[in-house]
Amino acid sequence: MISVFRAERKALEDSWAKGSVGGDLLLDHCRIVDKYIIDSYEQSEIEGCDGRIALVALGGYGRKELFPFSDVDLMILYHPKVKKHITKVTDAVLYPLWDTGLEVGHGVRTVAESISHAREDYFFLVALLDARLLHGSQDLFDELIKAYRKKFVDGHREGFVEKMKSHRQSRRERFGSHSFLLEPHIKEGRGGMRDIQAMMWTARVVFGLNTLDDIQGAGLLLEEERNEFLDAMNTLIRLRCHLHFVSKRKNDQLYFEQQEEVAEAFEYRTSGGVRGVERFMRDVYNVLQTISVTSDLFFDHVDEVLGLAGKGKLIADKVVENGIEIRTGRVHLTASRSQILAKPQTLIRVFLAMARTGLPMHYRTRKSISGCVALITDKERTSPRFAKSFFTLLLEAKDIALLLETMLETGVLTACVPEFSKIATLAQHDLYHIYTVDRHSLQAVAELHALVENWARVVRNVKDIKVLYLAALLHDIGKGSGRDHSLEGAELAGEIGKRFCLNKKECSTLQFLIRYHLFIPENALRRDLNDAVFIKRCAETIGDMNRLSMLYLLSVADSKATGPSAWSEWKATLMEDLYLKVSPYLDQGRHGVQDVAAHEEQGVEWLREQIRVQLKGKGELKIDPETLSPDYILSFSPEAIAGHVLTQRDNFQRIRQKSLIVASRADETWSLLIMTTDRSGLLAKICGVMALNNLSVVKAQIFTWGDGTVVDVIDVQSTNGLSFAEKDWAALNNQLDLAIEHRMGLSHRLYSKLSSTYGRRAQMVGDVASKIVVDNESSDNYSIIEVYAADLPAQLYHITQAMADFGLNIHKAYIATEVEQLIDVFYVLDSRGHKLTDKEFIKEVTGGVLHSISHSAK
Amino acid sequence: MKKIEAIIKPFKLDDVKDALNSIGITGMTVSEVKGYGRQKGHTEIYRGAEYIVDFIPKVKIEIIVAADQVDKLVDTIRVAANTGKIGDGKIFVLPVERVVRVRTGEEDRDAV
Repeated sequence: MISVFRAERKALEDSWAKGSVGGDLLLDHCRIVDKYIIDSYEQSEIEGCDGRIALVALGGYGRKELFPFSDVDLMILYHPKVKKHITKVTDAVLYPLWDTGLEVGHGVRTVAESISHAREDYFFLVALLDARLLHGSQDLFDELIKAYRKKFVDGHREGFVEKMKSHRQSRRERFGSHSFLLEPHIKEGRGGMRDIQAMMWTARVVFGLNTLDDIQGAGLLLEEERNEFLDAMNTLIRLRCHLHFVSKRKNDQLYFEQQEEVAEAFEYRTSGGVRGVERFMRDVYNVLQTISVTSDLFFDHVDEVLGLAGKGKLIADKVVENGIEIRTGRVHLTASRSQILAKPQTLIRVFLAMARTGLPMHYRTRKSISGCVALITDKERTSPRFAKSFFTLLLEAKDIALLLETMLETGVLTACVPEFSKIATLAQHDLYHIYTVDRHSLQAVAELHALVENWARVVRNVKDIKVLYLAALLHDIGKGSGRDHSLEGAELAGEIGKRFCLNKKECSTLQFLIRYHLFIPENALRRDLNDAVFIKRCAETIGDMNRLSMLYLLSVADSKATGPSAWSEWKATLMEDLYLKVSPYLDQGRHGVQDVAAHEEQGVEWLREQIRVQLKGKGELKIDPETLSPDYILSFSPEAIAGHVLTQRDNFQRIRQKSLIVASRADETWSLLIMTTDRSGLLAKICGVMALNNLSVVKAQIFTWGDGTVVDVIDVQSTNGLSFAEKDWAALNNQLDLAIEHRMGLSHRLYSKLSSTYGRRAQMVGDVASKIVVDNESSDNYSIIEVYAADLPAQLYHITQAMADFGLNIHKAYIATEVEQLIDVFYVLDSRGHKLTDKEFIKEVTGGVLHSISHSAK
Repeated sequence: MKKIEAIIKPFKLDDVKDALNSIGITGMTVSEVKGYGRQKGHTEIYRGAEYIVDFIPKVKIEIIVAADQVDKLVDTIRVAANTGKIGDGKIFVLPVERVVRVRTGEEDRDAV
């Protein structure tokens, strides 16, 4: 018997290979299995069970949709009275079935057991919906169905639908909420077989509609939609049969390795620069999409019928504007076709309502919009008002993914940007991209949205945020053309930008971003980021900070939207590194160049060249730029350094003998350039004079040229409210002169100036624990001394004085105040120019500085 | 049998791969790793904001070869991955007890 069965199945496969129709195959397969099971049962000639046993097919098998390697779901239903014979029955039926090698899902239950099991197991519950009597007692079978309907169907519609929806949701979470994955799961994935079944089951339970024709008849689907759906379903059936035969097992996922082979079997050929497999996958995605959209619409409709729509939504019903309303948590378009014709803008405005509320669009509105997209003409597309609305959508949508998805599905996105149709559901047959090009583009915009919210540090450098968003949407627009998609895309983008009323500069930025959207990821991984010549070339290619920041954000959004293999912490670090390395070359704002790859000779040479250019034709100098130290060159912009050199020449005698303070105003702080000759304890003296003059030091950069000239740049804030203009800078300079000539005692002056307030202040700040940390790890070149102390006037004077006593050279200092606490960071070397390594010495320094702090507080 | 593990700078991967190909080594395992040795992490101070880079991205290459090939291989990697600067990486040579090819069950030399 089994040999007959095998032969029949073999014949089935052969007829499939010759091109039989998917639906027929399922029926034939089902018939073969039915016969085999019934024969097995009949042959066993079990006695005493007449009329008390029923063989019931469940699930897909019950529906007569038995795929080549699907489970055969069989239940042996029995009356409790024949319990003692049941082992014989199961042996007779199940053993032969197991012998076939097919996967068998089996159960042996009474009616009561079936009902209680269905209550526990949702999958069994829905499998029972498709129950079909194979053989045996009709009465027993009817009894089961009656009990089932009573318990789970009649009067339980809402609960049934809610359960169905929640399972649909969890399925999407597990198998991907996109129908556009690289390796779509055609059974469980979005738009797969399960979506069809969920719809059919629900139709049956809620409306009593048993077939697709019934559903159409009830007006839930238009004829055209029904046909499309049926075509899609048949394609899926065919595909799934093929997958089973090819894999020789129950395989429902279209794996990457198989796609090419299947495409070929389905007779897809390469044409017009698009590979057969890519066209095949595009069709597969379209099929999944059709099913997913149809079943979404269906469930929306069910919600409405059962009054489940809008439950728990926080937005009240209202009329947004003429023709656009919000009802039960959905956006509705109520304008008539003639109204839309008179004002096609409405088609965009309805999406604005969606963007602002974050609510989904009602399914009927989606349908009616799909029918109207032709009303968006070139006249609309080129109007400034349209462009403005479109950018508002991109920039401000509460749920950008939902919005763009709906725009794409209704065809509005392609109506707004006709070029987008070229990449619609275009598959990219590589392991890298898990989405089709259009979904990937939408995903990139969504990722960008998230970045803009979280990466303020980068985003604040961006001047043309709308251009950036448009670039994210269009960055792959050149795909599928057969040539370099960055170049092709940049060309197309020029036209699109014009249409969106971007000015010339914005257009060129848009084109630049698309032309170079792979620049950062490609170079971050393949180039030596410590090669200053390369970094400089990057800076030259990119041009300015605005573009660099946009390009960086676009690259990250693009990578994240591509898939897990294109984005990792590892790659993120390299891309950030590139961004940070190039930034200083482009951002010569108020702080100038800082800490550019401190160990990089090449960078220094390039900067030195820039300084030479700055000083060209300025006459004789007192210092040779060649002798300036790399550390110094890396700390300021070439313009600033040229300024220092010229200042030194013009005030040479004064700087030799006394000191020079050049004050300039920055945003919140004043920057003081102090030049003099090097002497020990200089920084302490400077700090002391600042404190005497009601200036608090927030940052200090300290350098000494080879000829002994000190160049200190001290950022200060005024503590007594005097404005920059009111400050007597000459007097300040005089005091510093006196101090460095040892003719002014800073210590006692500070004491008498501050004594009146000391006690009170010390009490006010309370007990802030002082702490000194010497860190030899964080910097390659310096020991870092961190001082945590109460923020008291002249504190810095005492600390720097104490360091001077130890002969420490302070090269850089950062001073920050955090709620009454002073956190000073000093980059120091000892008197011989080495890091502080001797443990005893570190202990001594720590003790000395600590003492100076506690001393100052008294 | 020896296993060679090389930690190199990411942008040197192509160079190393080409160099290995040219001496007839065609199989290797490559992974993206992070870490630090003497190079340490570094702190980038940019516009007042500190970006701390504590683990530096590197690429790890693993190759199993017969013992007599080790010297040539190590030399090849060393030359190809060298930039002369800190952070160029390290090469480790480890003994391997046994190698089995999963598909055929071949062992040791045959399996490499």
